[in-house]
Amino acid sequence: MAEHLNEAVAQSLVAALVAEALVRLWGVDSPHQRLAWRVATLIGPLVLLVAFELLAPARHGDGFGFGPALFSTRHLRALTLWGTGVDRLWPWPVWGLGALLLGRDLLTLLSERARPQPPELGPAPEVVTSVVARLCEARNMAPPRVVEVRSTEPLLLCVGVREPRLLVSRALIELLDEGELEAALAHELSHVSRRDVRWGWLLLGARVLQAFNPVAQVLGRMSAHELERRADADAAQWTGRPAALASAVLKVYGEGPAVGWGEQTLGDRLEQARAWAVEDRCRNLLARPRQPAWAPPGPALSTMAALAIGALLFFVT
Amino acid sequence: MRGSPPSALVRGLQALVLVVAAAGTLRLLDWLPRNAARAAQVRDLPSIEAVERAAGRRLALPSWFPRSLPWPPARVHVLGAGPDAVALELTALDGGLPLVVLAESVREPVPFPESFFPPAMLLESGPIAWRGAEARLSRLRGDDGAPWNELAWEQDGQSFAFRSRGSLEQLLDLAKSVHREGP
Repeated sequence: MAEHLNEAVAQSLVAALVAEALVRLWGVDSPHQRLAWRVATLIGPLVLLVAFELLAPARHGDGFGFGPALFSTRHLRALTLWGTGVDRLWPWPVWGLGALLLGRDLLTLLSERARPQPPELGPAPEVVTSVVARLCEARNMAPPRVVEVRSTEPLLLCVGVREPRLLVSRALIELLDEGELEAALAHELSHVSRRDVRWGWLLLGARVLQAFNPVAQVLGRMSAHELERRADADAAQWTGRPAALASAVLKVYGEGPAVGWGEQTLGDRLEQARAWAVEDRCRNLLARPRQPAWAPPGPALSTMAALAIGALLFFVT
Repeated sequence: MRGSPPSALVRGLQALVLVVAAAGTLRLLDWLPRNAARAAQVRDLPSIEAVERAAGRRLALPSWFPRSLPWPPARVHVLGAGPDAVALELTALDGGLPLVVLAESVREPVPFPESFFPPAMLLESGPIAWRGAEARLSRLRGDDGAPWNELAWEQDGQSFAFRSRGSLEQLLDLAKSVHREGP
């Protein structure tokens, strides 16, 4: 069992590094394609591990390990620390790191879900529903239900796996101007149209299945980040006003707790990380819109590259 | 300003080069711990007595040797300062090729470095019942094409791996006769 877990971590790392190098080499800039690569790298090694085990169980024999295998985690036993092979020493810290990364995010999620949900007041005001209707009509999509919630915080959320709907608070409507509100709603409508809530849960499921794997945890986070980046790109394209979305993001962020830049508590550090994420989003939105230097790689080329990476992983045990 | 867009063929070649480079890097990373690190920790001592003095205990040795095997060993390799393990290399009487390598851990079981043994490729390996426990019997082929047999097992809290160019029966008889004299 431990051998399989080690193999999964090694394969994830190899797949992630090669895929990232390929994304950079090919200049893949589209959030949609970047997301596809991240998700493939997150789920691929998990599927391949099972497939390889079923189709080629002899890969775990010494004949394969000392023969055609390119890299075997078992060979780390040749390195010893305090008389113990490194192959026995490294798994626990690595698995622990994976569990820690997942645990932190699960705790955050659970604490958010444990908080009382803001009560729903009914359909959102006309100022919101009219914008939603206009945006949906332009995108030829059915408008989702938009509900006003009672909260003193500026809230705008896409919730619901089967039937996504938007929750909006009066505080948000009063905080944002017309352009900012339209951009923020377009961002959430992108989540609705692309079923990102469901994707978020699927990503979390893939992470839970690989709780021991820190590489998968990082890839899962990066994929979630790409979901947001994709929604930002959609909103910028739909409204033609990326600066309005950046402004909305900053305004909503500004309503949150102040950042303790000079302090060293864990809460401050997390808040700093959130500030950097907001800064990154705004930088992406405000960057001069540019034509992609190269056309994105086609599906045939991407499939070929994925197969080549899969073949490479066959020789990592 | 970036140049003209690369064709699908160029991108395919880029991906191929990347995957081949990754394969080469993986192979190197696999080779390094198995060879470089271990080789640095393996050194030679002049005799079995020198090993026993360094270890502060007697080695477990076979009490039976075929007449064709010269004694004492031509080379004595040890792993680590302790030392953690020792390999006794018995060579042909004309001082040529190693015929048998007897590797054992000095105290608790440790993995033996590959540099203890002459380079060989593993052909097959499997578990066998051995003195009430399980051992691993392997068949290998040396760089010169010669066949080798290896028996690896644990006994009294030590790990052993005997590798021989001779017959399998001779190897098993050698292994059966292992015992330790004194503490």
